[in-house]
Amino acid sequence: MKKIILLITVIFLLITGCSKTEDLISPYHFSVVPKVTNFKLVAVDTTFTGKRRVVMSWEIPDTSNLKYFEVYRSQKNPDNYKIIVSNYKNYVFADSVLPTITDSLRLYYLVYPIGTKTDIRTGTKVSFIGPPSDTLIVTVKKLK
Amino acid sequence: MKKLILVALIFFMFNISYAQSNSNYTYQIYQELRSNKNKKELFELPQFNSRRLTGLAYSVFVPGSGQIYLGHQTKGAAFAVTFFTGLVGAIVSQNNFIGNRERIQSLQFDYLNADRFTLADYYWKQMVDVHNEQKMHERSRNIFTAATIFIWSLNLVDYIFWTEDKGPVEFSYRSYNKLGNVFSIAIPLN
Repeated sequence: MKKIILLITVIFLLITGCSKTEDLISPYHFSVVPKVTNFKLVAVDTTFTGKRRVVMSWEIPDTSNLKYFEVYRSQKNPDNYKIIVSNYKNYVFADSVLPTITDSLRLYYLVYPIGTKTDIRTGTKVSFIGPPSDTLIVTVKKLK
Repeated sequence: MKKLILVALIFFMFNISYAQSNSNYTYQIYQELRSNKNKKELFELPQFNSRRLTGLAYSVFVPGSGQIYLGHQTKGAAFAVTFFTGLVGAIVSQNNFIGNRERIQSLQFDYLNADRFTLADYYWKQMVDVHNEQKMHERSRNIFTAATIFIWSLNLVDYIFWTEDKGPVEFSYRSYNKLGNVFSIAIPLN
């Protein structure tokens, strides 16, 4: 008798528990801050003190939710990015603190736009790191 | 996955049709009914005595057991195996469906709490994958449930209209092979 009751319960739960697949929530991460565009090398020149300098620029299609930019640089290996400037609000950046150049140096740059989003738990505005720009690869040669 | 379900359904049908044709007794009755009776008479209710009512109660709760009770072991076993295969398939699909739903809820929490685009995009892609998987499990669950209900109904129709009572079989020790006395456990089914 117990087995019959168990079987009926299983079939009942099976039929009543047959809910439909719920739709996913609409994605928010595409619209917080847009991706940086037209990230390009402006010049590789020398400062007044004789140091090598890389000048780069970029654009962004929408600034309504933008706080600032962060620029990252990697040397030799394009997976080892380190932040070189934060809280940067311009669209042109000159990197003059380059690593030591023996003969030539390959550098990789990325720009992240930082925006704000509303935290779901506290309801406060928190920072949101936007999508990375395309990688800019620059080869700097030592002056002779 | 669709092909697998189709193969399973064909197997179910083959299983039942094999059981039907394998039983000479049932086949003879069927042939007799076909030759001597018209379609209306084919669905005439046979007389219901206490054995048939007991068998009907068995068949309602465990498909195929009523047929076994009346002496149609092969057909009854085919119904029971097919029914429970479908039921297990439906339960497994439903279990996977619920698992996917819980995974989506967990991923959704992580997605909404992500503080960077790359992380949010990673969670979002996983959510889309799991959502597609959940839809697939929903379809297979519905197919298995429909097949199970169909088999259950077919079992009842078969029991009520097309299964004759072969009469009670006395339970006694019978040796079917030349091995002699082999230690075993026997269960009387009817």
